[in-house]
Amino acid sequence: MKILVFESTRAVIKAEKLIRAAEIECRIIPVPRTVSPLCGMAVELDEGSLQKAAVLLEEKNIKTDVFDRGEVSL
Amino acid sequence: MKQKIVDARGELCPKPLIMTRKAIKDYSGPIEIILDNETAFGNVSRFLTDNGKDMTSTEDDGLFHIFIDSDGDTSRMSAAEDYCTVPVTLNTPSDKRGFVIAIKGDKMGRGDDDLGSILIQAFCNTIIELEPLPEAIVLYNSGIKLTVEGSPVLPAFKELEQHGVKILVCGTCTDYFELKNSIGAGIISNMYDIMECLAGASKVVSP
Repeated sequence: MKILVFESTRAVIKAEKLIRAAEIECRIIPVPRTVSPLCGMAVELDEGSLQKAAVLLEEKNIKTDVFDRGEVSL
Repeated sequence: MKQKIVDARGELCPKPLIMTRKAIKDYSGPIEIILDNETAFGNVSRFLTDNGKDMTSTEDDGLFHIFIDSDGDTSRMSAAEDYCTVPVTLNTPSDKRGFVIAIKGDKMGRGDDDLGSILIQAFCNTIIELEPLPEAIVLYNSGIKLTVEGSPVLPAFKELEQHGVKILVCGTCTDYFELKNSIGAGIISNMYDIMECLAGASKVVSP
């Protein structure tokens, strides 16, 4: 699983809508504590969907950092 | 054929369920089950329909009568106790009782619906990380929409259910939103069960 972290909460909301509109399955989770101690939201999706989602986000100029689920503890 | 009568008046859950299951095992033929409280009626009805028994029922002045045809076979039926929705917490000392999460709407907080939507999703997806897990999750008003087919957090509720968390979905609300047939997790419940569940909790947490 991959975790996508964004610059702002508004960006998360836009990203979720884009990803779901493309019928890509995703999960909204809190940003893992080890990534940021702030109350942020992140999008989790299958590794296989990452490429498709990344293209969609780039088209809309939404910046994201990608983490591997295994690298971070919640 | 002679009808067997199971008189479960005055009995509290899970007794009526156990009596019903035993009667089906012991007797092939028509069985009438008499109950005097709605919770027991709801639980026994759910037990029977989930286990593929065709039933008819009548209510008369606070007495519920359920009629079924027993084939004497309970080998494939689930354990009766599983259908008892009266929380075990009621009989458990207060320091051993679990907590309950009450989800009152499909958004978390008030102000902005887009924001409230991602907050509630993150909340629901994080419940599974809790140690210990809640004893039950009660959903009412628009909160029930989180458990319908297609909800982004339905998998989270299914997983919690597999871990033994009881999920009670407000039946009146599913009816109001016309989503009765779309609920994908939990049991459709009534105000008695919801009240008992909340009142029996060590504490109630709401997003």
